[in-house]
Amino acid sequence: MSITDIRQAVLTGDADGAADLARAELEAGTAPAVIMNEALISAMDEAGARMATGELFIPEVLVASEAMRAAMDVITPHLEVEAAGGRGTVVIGAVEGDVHDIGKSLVALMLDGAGFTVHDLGVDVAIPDFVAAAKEHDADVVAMSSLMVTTMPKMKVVIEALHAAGLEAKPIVGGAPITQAFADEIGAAGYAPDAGGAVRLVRDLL
Amino acid sequence: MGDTLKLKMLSSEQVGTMRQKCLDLLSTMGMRIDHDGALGMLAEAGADVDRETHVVKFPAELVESAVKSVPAEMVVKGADPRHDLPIPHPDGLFYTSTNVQSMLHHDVETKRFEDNSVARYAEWCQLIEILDQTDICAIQTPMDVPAESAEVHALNIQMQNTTKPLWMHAFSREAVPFMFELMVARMGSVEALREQSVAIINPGTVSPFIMKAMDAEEIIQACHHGVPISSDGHVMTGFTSPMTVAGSAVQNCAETLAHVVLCQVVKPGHPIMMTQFNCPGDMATGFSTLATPIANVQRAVGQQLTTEGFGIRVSGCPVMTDTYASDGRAVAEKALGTLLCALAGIDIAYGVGRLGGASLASPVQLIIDDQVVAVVKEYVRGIQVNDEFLAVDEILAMGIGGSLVQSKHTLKHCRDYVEPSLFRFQLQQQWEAEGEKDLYERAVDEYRRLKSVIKPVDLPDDVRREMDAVVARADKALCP
Repeated sequence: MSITDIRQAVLTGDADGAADLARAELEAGTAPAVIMNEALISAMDEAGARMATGELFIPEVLVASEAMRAAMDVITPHLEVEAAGGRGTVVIGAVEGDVHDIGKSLVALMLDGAGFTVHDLGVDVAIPDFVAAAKEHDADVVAMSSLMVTTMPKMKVVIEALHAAGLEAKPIVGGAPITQAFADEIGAAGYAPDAGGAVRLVRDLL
Repeated sequence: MGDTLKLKMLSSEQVGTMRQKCLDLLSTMGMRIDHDGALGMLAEAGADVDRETHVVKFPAELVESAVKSVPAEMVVKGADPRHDLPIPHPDGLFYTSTNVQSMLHHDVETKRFEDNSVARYAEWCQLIEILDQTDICAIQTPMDVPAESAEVHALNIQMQNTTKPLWMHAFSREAVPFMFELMVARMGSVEALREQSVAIINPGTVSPFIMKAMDAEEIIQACHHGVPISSDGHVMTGFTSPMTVAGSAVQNCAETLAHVVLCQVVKPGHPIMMTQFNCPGDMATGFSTLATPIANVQRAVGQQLTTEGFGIRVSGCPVMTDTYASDGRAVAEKALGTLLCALAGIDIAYGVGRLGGASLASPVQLIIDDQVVAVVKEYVRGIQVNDEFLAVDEILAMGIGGSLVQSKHTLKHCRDYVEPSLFRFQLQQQWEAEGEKDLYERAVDEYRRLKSVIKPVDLPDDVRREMDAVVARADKALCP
């Protein structure tokens, strides 16, 4: 029983094992913040890194994140309030006019699995709804997705609306037609080409 | 002509099982349809419509009735009747289409992907006009026009630069009426468009089991204007449909059948095909793949389920690659995919000119693919066995140790087999003397040659003015 075993349980997607091991580690006197940082978040960081190299597939990373959540459920009641706050808050949605869900939802799942607090607004999200959600949840990042040339321009409008509302949330963008050049042109804080990249981007921004 | 070769991916029993599963999915789970008019028509036709959730459940008898009323034959028409495509292909072969949406074209001179533009897309359409094996010109996205009306501009470019049939879909519901208005302007009247329908409309589901308002509107407008339809299912294996081939093929067919039902409810007997797009998700990145073996196997399985199970003609997307360069991998993936789906009985093979990713195309790849298709057709064409083709009299006349190279029979048949220029046999010395060029370099030469002969369609000034006026109205209505 050790931090290493918990990490391994998370990485292999063994939810029951991760929860049991975390419980035993707590009873052995290890600080919950240590379990969270050195076992759980560390395991998910490694899962993300192994996904980036193609070693792990998305379903395997998602099952790892479920194991992490099972262990988090065990230690969260013992965490200091500030420590339990997670790694940051992300508001995410597909911009107005765009109903493509899968890529955006995958990014949301991956961010959630990596320990961020995620508020998924869904698809065809109106511009004021992005602003309202960013304000309501005190978002650190607003992530926007578009799969169509016709809806891409809405990203710039959302960014302008966030600025106009005086919000400091960092806007990031992604989706099949989006490029780094487009992200730069509209003043986005970042662009990621895939779900794994989105997690790395948010981690780097915060 | 010989009997074309055909491959069965499924036994009759498997087709029957999968067919029943399609009907079960539509009757028990149904489809969400975000179009009030469509909901009303389907309810009146006997579908179980939930007005609050927009979920429509399709009783099996409604689906069966719709399937029965789909014509077994259809003609996809271009502005010029010389390019009309009777389906099924009279020689048992297949037709091809280029790819939709490309926002980036590979530039021969800069050797980089550059934004698609009005000029690039016009050249693309003009190339299609003169390529032998590329039958349908699909809509793409020029980036130097307003994004909100890009598809209307694109359709205008298509119709001003090719008279071949157009593969058409909109990017927003609001643009749909303008696109039909533009086609009417091109042909002169609604009646003329119904007579010579110019395009095939390509609505697509949002998988799993959602029919967007835009796509329902496309189906309704296509029925009204007499324009045939090829309905797409957009399952993404492992993400929005089962990881397994059989499950994904069933789901794709079930989703597209919902389009078929709406079409036949709007206008019984309207020509509609079902499309096997089927893009498995890459498990490492979450992106759609285009040309994996599982993608093409799934398409071929879906084809048989569609044609044998439902008696509906089928298009699909096998002329695909997942590489970003016009390289050996591109040719291998496209040839293998097209060969498999041709053997499995595809009517329209889509993807000519496309490279990997979501939006990449290349005019040089367009030329290579046109010839890859010619080669594939030779593989599936089949042979004839009769006195003329057995040619036993010729063999006897030649005798032991003789030659037939000067016989009339050889002269008569020496051009039976197509040998496209890029794949023509060359002596090593000749190849060396011509600069030891590989396939891509020779295709670039061919591209430059074709560029010198292509030209826009010669349209009357008043027709061109009316088409431009429709585009201007679309800009005014759609752009902020």
